[in-house]
Amino acid sequence: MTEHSLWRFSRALHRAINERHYADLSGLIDDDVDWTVYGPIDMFPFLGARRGKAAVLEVIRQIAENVRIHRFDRESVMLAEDSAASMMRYSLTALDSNKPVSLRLAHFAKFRAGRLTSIRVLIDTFDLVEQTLGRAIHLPKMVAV
Amino acid sequence: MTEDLNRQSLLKFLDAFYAGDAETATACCDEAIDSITYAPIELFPHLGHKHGNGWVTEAIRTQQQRYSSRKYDLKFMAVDGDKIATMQFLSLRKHDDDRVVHLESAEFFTFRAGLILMHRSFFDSFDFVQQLLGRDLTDSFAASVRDTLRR
Repeated sequence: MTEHSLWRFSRALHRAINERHYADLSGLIDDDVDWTVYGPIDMFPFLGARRGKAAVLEVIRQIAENVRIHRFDRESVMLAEDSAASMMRYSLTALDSNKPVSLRLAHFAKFRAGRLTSIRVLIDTFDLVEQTLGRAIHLPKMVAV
Repeated sequence: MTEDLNRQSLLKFLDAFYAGDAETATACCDEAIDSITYAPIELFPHLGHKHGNGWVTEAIRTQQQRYSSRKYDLKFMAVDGDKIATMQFLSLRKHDDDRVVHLESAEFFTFRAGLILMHRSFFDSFDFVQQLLGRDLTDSFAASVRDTLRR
């Protein structure tokens, strides 16, 4: 049974971020990849949208310069034929400040011929900002989604 | 076969939820449904951890009180046995000022006997808070966040 593309991509991505080894990852990304991590790009410039392999490898270099992955738990994973989705919990360290950050994210990925063609990543960004600031943001009670 | 039934059940649930048909939406859920929306509950007191299918009617009612129209567009669906992941683009028109707010929502469902047993959800909550407030918060916090990351 062939290993799902998600597992190869996931291993290569984590190796790229923690070891700054990009060769394996480069071979698993489509030249015209469509990449978006939703979040406040004014605060975290490595979030946002990128198009094409070169731009995606560059943003992964930026992520590798900013954080190190200590641990991740895949809380839920769905593997379809050429797509996959996971809900994950990450324990990270911001490299410059040595500040620990814990975040939950969801990713929705599509693959073609074993290569990533599209990925969307969602993060509970309010929690991320509060953790980074090290304090709660006080705002009025809101309406529910 | 099971995957097709679960997919149909989920689509029926989403259509009913956003049409405001609480009875049909509730019928797609197990009585013991466990739902968590990961969001700052001090800001969104109606979100967080909910248990039991009464949550569905309550959630629809709460949204209808806040929004005059609610639409969803399914952007991604992955089905794997008794689990389904979706990414939805939501458009909500606020009652108080008629502004439309948008968000992408990640939703993970686990089924039992064709009914939704578990639901997990979250979204780009910082952006959504900004939209609801109608003002940009990044100016207030961007410099602090960047300084903290560098400190």
